[in-house]
Amino acid sequence: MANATDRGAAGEEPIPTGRPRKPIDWRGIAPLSGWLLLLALAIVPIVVDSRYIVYLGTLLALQAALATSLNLIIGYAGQFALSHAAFYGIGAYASALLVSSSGMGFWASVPVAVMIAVTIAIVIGYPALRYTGGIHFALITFAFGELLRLLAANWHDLTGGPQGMQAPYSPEPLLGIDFSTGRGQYLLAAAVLAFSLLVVAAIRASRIGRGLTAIREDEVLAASLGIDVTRSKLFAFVASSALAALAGTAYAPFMGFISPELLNAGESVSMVGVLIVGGMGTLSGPIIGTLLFVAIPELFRIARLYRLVILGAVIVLAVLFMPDGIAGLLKRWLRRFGPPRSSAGEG
Amino acid sequence: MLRAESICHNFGGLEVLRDVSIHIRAGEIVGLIGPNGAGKTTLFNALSGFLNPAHGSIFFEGGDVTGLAPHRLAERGLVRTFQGARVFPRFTVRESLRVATDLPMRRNDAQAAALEGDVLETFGLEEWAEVEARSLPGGMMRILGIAMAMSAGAKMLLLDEPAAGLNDVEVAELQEVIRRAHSRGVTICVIEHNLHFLMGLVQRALVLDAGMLIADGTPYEVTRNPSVIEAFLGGDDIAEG
Repeated sequence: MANATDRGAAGEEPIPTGRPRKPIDWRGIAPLSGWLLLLALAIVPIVVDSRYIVYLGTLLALQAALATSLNLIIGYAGQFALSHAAFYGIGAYASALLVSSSGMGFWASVPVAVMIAVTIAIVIGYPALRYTGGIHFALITFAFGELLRLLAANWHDLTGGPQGMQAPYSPEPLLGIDFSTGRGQYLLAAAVLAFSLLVVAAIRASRIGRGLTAIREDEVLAASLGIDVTRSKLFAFVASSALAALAGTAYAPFMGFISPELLNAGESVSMVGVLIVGGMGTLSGPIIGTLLFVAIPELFRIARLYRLVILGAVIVLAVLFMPDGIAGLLKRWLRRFGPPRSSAGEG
Repeated sequence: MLRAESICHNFGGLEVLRDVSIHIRAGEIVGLIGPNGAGKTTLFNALSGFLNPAHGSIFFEGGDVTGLAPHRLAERGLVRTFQGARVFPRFTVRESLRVATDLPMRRNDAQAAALEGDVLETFGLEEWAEVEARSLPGGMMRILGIAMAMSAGAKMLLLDEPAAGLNDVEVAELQEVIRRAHSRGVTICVIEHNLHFLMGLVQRALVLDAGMLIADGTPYEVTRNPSVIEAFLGGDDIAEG
C-alpha cells in the first residue's frame, strides 16, 4: 500500500527529489518544438519576398484552419460531419453578398456571416444529432452540403449561378495593416488559423471538451454518467461550423471570386482525409495533414489533377499502417524513446 | 428512494415486463435476481432512462422521473452501470474518474479534484491511476465502472451483473467495493445470477421471472419460495447461476 501511495504522489510532483540525473524528456519538448516550427512556418510568408509563397501560405493557413475546426466535431466529438465545405461556402457567400450587395463593411459582415452559419448549424444539427450511432448525422450533413451547392449553382440572381460571383473587395485597413496586399491577406488567414487553434485548444481543455472525448469513446456510458450527449455534440458541431464560416469570410476577398464548387461535398470528404492522415483528436494532426495534402502537391506542381489520387492512396496507407495518423505515430515514438512519465499529454 | 409503479413493456408483441412494481428505500442494498430473459436488464433500462416504458411511472426521491433522459437521472443521483466491463477504453483511470466527476457542472475544480482523490483511495484504484482502462484486469474494470458512477455523484447505484465472469478473489474484492459504496450512504440495487454473491451482500432480494415480480423478501426467504425454485430450475441452477 505504501508503494501505491508513492506512485500516486509521483504523478502529482513532476520533479522527484534524489534522482541523480534526469533524462531529457522529449515528450515535454515535442509539443513546444511543434509550436515553434509552426511559428517559423508562419513567419516565412511575411519575410520571404515571393508572391507565390505568400499565396501558398494564405491557402495553407485557411485550409489548416478548416481542418482544425473540423477536428473539433470529428476528432474530439467523434461525429462525422460532411458539411464542412458547405459552411465554408456559407461564410464566403454570406460575407461576399453582404459586402457587394448591401454595401456593408467587411468587418461588419463577418459576425453576421458567422451568426448565419450558427443558426443553420443548430437547425440541421439538432435533429441529426439526437440519434446514437452517427449514421443519420453523416447522411444529413452530406445531403445538406449537396443541397446548398445546388442552391448556390441555381440561384442565379443571388449567387451568379455555376459561374460563381466576384468578390472584388478587400477588408478595410485595421491596426495599420493593408489587407489589399498579398501579405495583408496572409496575415488575415494566419489570424483565422490562430483563432481556430485557440478556440479548439480551449474547448479541449474544458469540461465540455472532456465530455466530448468521453462521448467519442462511448456515448451510452457518457450519458449514464450525466453527460448531456445531444447538447455536447450540438455545441461541437455549431462551434466547428462557425469556425469554417469564419475561414470562408477570409477566403472570398483572398480569391476575389467564389463559386459553388467551394461547397462541393468532395471537398468535405477530402478534409476528412486530411484529418485521418494527420491524426484525429490531436491539435497538431490537422496542420500536419494540411501541409502534406496542400503544400506538397502544390510545391511539386502536380497540383490539382493528381491531388485526389494521391489523397486516396495516402488515406489507404494511413488507415492500414498508422490508424492514429502522423500525429499519433509521432506520439508513439516519443512515448517509446522518452522517459516514462505518469500521465501522457495529448499533443 | 426509488419507486416503480406498474411498469409494462413489450418488444414487438413479446411482453418483457408485466405490471412490475418495486420500492427501494434509502440506504438499502437490494438484489434483483431471475433467470435469463426474465426482464432484469429491461427493468434497469427503464429505471435509468435508457428505455421509456410503455406503461407505468417511476419516482426517484419523491419526484416523478418517468421518461427523463439518462443524463438527467444521473444528475439527480440515480446512476447505473452496464453488463460486462463498460469503461472508456483509452482513458486512464484518473481521466475516467475526472470525466465522471466533471459532469454535474455545479462542482468546481477543487471539489472535483478532492472527490477524485477520495474515490481513487476508497476503491483501491490509486496504483492504477495512470493505466488506460482497457489495460486493467477484469475485476479492476468492474470496480472502475462503479467508481465512475460514484464520481458522477450517485446517491443510488443500479449495478447490472457486476460479478459475471470474475474469479473468486475478484468477486470478494467487488463485494467489498459494493459494501464500501453502501457504507457511504449510497442505496444499491444489484442484478445478479449468482445467489452466493448476493447472499452475504444484500438485505432484500426481488425475484423477476418472465417479466413478473414473483418474490420479494430476505435472500433466505426467497430461496425457499416454491415459485422461485421452480422459476430457477426451469432455467438456471439456483446456486450457480
